[in-house]
Amino acid sequence: MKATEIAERLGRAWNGFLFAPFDLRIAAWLRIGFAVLTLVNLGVLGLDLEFWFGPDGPMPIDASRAIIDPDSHTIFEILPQTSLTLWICYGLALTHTVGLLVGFFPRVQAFGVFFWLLSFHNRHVMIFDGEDQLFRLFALFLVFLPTHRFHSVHSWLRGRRQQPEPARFATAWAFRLFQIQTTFVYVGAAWSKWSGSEWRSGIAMWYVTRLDDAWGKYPVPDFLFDSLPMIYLLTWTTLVLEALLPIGLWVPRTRWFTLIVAVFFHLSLEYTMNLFLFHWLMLVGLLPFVATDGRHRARVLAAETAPT
Amino acid sequence: MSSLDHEPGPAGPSEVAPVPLEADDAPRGMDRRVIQVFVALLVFVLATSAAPTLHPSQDAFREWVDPFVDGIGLWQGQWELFGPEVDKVNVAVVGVVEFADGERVEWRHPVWRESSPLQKFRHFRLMEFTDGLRLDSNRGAWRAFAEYVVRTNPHPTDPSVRATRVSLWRQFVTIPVPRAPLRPIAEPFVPSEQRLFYSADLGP
Repeated sequence: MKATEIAERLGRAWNGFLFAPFDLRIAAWLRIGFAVLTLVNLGVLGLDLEFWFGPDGPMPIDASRAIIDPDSHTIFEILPQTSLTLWICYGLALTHTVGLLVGFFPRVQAFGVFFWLLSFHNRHVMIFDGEDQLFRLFALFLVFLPTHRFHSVHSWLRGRRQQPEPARFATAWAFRLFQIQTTFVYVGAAWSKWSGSEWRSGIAMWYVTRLDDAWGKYPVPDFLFDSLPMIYLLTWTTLVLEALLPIGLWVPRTRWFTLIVAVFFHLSLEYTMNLFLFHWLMLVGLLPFVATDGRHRARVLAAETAPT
Repeated sequence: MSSLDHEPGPAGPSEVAPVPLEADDAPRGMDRRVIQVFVALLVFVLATSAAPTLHPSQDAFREWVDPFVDGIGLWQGQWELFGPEVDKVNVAVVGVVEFADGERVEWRHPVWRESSPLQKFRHFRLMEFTDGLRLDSNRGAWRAFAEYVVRTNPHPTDPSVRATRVSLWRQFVTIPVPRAPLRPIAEPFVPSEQRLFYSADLGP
């Protein structure tokens, strides 16, 4: 095969990867799921807003600048350090999130959510973790996703005006950003664990299950965590699953099975561990694998054209 | 990759609607090229910070792009998620205010192992805060926190009594290597040691 042919094929594959028809109804569900989680996130933050970000809390702006990378900035650096300012900013963050939830100019709202999450994050970096980075990046990706066509204020107005429904499948290349980011999370977690001797030797879950902050949520049978063989089994299962999930999600023949396993995996961890909204956010991050799936599209189109 | 996504379903090619390689509304011309370049650049930037470190040169490159990535809010850490080595320490942070008459008042966060699922959810940020506060890398936040502890913990009986000293302690227990028979999960590892990590005299 000539170099030009290879380049042509790669180009076609890249274009197909980005510009294939994807399910925009799922884009809408992704927007709604993300907005609900962001509202919960902001709601919990709001309960202690002045404690975390206020001028009389344990982290005044000077202290927060002392511990953060100097290249990371927040709008709170230039705003007055008052409670009123804080509550106005928080109100704006909530407003953007509600706008995103109902799909009112959702790209603008998504950018607003991104901006405020970044600002609050950089205002008090110590209380945020990996899932907050994921929140922020998903908000940015939503700026590029056409989520307004279904389940939105715009679609409601369209219905009232009796205008035709737009095509369900259309270009939505931003789905690829979600997929790639979700893959980074799984690959990073798998790589990190495979690099650790305690994961490879099978005892890592012993430590995890004895951590008093991260572990322990709803009731689970003690025998699962009181025997060494079970600890080995849980550790190696986690190790293998996290390594296989990112592969299985990208291979069409294993995608649906992997999605089911991934959902079960995240819900199991959500049941047993206290990681706030991380697992729910990962479930939202799995939706693009359905939206871009060719079989899903074929099934939907077959159902739509089937005689009634 | 697109062909992978668009493989015919198990019912057989004849029963599956033909799948176009590109959507009808796929952008053309300059729009297409702009999107292609933008996505490639964005993925590259994301990969720069998120991809596992396979070679030391990646760290050097990360440092080089760090101001840009931080500045536009695209920074993310590597997704370690309890790896490579698991945390092995249960920690509590305690702030102690001492008063001129010898009285002591303590600031404590909830005991996580005794908290309900709802309380753990509600105080998740506090867990992150106290877990981070004890680290030397966050020493820049110790003084502000100590001042907060003094401000919010007055003398229990006489508010006019002056605070003379504040100190911050990490109480901890290191979870040992597992040995059969395992210690039951119902018997938690409770902090049994403590170490001072910040103190300040508050003057006469």
